Amino acid sequence: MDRRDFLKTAARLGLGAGATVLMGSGAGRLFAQAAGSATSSGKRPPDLVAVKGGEADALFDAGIAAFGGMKAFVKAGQTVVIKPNIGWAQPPETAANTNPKLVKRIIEHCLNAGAKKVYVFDNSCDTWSLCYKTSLIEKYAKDAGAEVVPPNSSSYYHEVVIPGAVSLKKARVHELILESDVFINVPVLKNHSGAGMTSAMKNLMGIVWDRQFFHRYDLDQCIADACLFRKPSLNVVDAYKVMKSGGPRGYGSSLYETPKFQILSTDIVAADAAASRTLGFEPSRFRYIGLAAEKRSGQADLSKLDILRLTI
Amino acid sequence: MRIFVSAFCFFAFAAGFLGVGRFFDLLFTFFGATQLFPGAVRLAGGLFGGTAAATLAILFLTVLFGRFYCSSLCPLGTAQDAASFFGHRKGRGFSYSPGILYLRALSLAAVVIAFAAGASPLAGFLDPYSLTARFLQYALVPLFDLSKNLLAPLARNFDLYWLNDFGGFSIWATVAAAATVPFILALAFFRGRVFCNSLCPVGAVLGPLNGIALFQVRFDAKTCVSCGACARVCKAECLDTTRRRLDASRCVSCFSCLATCPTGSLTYSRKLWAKESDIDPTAVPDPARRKFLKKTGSSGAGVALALVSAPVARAAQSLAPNLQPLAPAAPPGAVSLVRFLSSCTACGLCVSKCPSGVLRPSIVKYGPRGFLMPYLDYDASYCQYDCTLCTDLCPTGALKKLTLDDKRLVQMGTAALVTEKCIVFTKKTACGACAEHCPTGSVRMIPAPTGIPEPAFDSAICVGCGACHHICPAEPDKSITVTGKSVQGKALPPTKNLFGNPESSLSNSPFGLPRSAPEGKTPSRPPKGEDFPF
Repeated sequence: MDRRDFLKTAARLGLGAGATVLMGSGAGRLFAQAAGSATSSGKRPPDLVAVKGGEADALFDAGIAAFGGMKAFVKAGQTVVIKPNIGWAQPPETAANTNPKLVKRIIEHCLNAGAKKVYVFDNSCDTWSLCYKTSLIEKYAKDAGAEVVPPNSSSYYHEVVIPGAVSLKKARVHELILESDVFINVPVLKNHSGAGMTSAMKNLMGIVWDRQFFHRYDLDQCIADACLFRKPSLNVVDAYKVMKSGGPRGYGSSLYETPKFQILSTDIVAADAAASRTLGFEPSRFRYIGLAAEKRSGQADLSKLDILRLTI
Repeated sequence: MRIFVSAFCFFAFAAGFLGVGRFFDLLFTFFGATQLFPGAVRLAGGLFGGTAAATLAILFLTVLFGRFYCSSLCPLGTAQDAASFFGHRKGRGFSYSPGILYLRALSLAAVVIAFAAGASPLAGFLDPYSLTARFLQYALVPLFDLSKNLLAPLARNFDLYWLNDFGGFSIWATVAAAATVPFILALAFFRGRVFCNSLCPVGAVLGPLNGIALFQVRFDAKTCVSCGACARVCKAECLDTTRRRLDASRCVSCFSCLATCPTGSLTYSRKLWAKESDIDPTAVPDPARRKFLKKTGSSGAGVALALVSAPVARAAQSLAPNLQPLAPAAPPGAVSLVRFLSSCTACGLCVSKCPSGVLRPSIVKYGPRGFLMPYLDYDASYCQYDCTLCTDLCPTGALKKLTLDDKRLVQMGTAALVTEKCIVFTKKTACGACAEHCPTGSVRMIPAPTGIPEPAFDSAICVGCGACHHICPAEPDKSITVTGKSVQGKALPPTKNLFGNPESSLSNSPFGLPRSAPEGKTPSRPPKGEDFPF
């Protein structure tokens, strides 16, 4: 078996895994390996890539290159769903939502990699139409050629069973998450009044219809449970500008830092562990990270990860 | 030509109201602003912008050119014309009727009394604009949404997401809307513009104005051969060909009659003062003239009646049951419930356009006087902090236009936090949904000895938007709820809060500000990667 054949097989396996509705962690790992083997150097890609020192879109260009480009995740003809944080009717300068330029660049990479269709949606907290508009994500995503999908009807969310969940055993998940071949999670890193920090794992609340369930039945446990359903193919944590207080919506008096930072990982728990350090806290400070690690959703111990640090 | 203009105005109105697209929104801004009744309410409230200016202009133009408003700008007028077209296309013509003019005087009086008595939403049952708007919003929109839902599976193939949850559907609003307009259209089907000349308060004012208009449809009794052709097409039923006269106070300036006259007795022309003396005294006998004057005077009598009864009605208002204890929150810019109940015609435009869907028509919340008047339904949604759309759109001025900065400080209600019902205390798990959604920071999570942050509330900066109320997941009762204020207040700016300014002490806690000493530890930074936190 030559390298080309191996790649083909691996890609097919990855595709199959992506199409499987209930993609277990094992299949996810397989997919990640298949993707990893596609790097130009031929060696395994890093577990986590941290990039700093540029605009959000430039950070992504550098970060995705370290994984061997978007082709490592998106195959020609596949459908992609991108899930940014579009939770609030707040303009980009408040960093309450994912940086629209970053969303745009990710879409462009997906389409360049041959994606058949790229969808963008978030079950927002504030009124969705205002969130989509004020965040500028709708405009940037449409400019890049994505389908921006309204999240406002419960009928688009279908009940699924979450294997191994402790509290969130069932949830209604948006059909784009169920149907799309590739799922890219693009949170913004922020302070959060309830969970302490919102990043990659907390962002998955926006694929579910009933957010109140999370708050009602142990927020931390539900956030951890949500990762057991379909793990994103890639997590891109936007930490270009970080809301340090008053999150997640942000007040006039919220404090900010602009570390011009980005974290990319196929491991959602690792991404959040790195994100918590970026916010200035140990990962153990956030209960849901520990709970998710216990369920083997990913690696919370940063010392056990192969981290690539880039400055551009 | 006139039919085209009327149809265009109607579709611009309807499409704009239904929110078909930006182009129609623009058209609606224009045609919506031409509506006389809301304009008159605005004028009465001492406001001169928007619809009020258009109203003054239209009244002036009516004195010059007649009742073109009724024939072209009024959406209900056009809808009635369509109904009477179907009712009369098979050769069945109209015929003269003397009309019931005292009714329109009563209607005008009833409207004025309704406003004086703080029951302005009930006046919306006579105003053609409010009637049409309610019909579109509460009867046609649900139908439109329902058909979209049925087509949604097909639309999905084209990446169109048409499904909706009917979140704000209110059966009683639909019944009320669906009962009125079809009734008026049925009248039109059989008898043309009966509503316009006997029930419409706008018609009660424009009718007499048409009678004195410089340009109007004029009838030359001398050349008339009483063939009756004109009367058969006159949907106002105001052409009496046996007695050879035209009741100008009921003519809606539709011009349908002009082309039918074989002798050219009907013209749309300027009054020829010089020929006043030429009028054949036998053709237009004095009694008819006196009757015409009486008809014109009927509206005046209506106004007079209203003016007399208005103070009585106003006095009666003070005897009406006090709304305060159970009052819901009114939209921003309502100022007070008393003011709102005397200026809102419950047309439903704000309900239709509210992006969050928090505005719902009241069935019983405001009591019978406020039927269909909008209130903030926090169970449905919450008022969006950076939105002023309802105050921008309100055609009657019942919602005062507010700048975004002013609107952000309007207190529509006040939140009340009952910690005994809060998830953090009852289940001892993290929540913070209220603080998460609060746009001003009046509810915040603060660190607690248990390690689970607890909510704290500062009422001075709360605007009553209802975000906390809407999202609070506590069951069976919410832990934080918002009650409406019968007189809207002004909140302190969010920076003037009880919690102090975070700039002074950036905490080591991820949960906002520490109550006492900062807790948590400074993260250890591994040497590798220098600038990197990990």
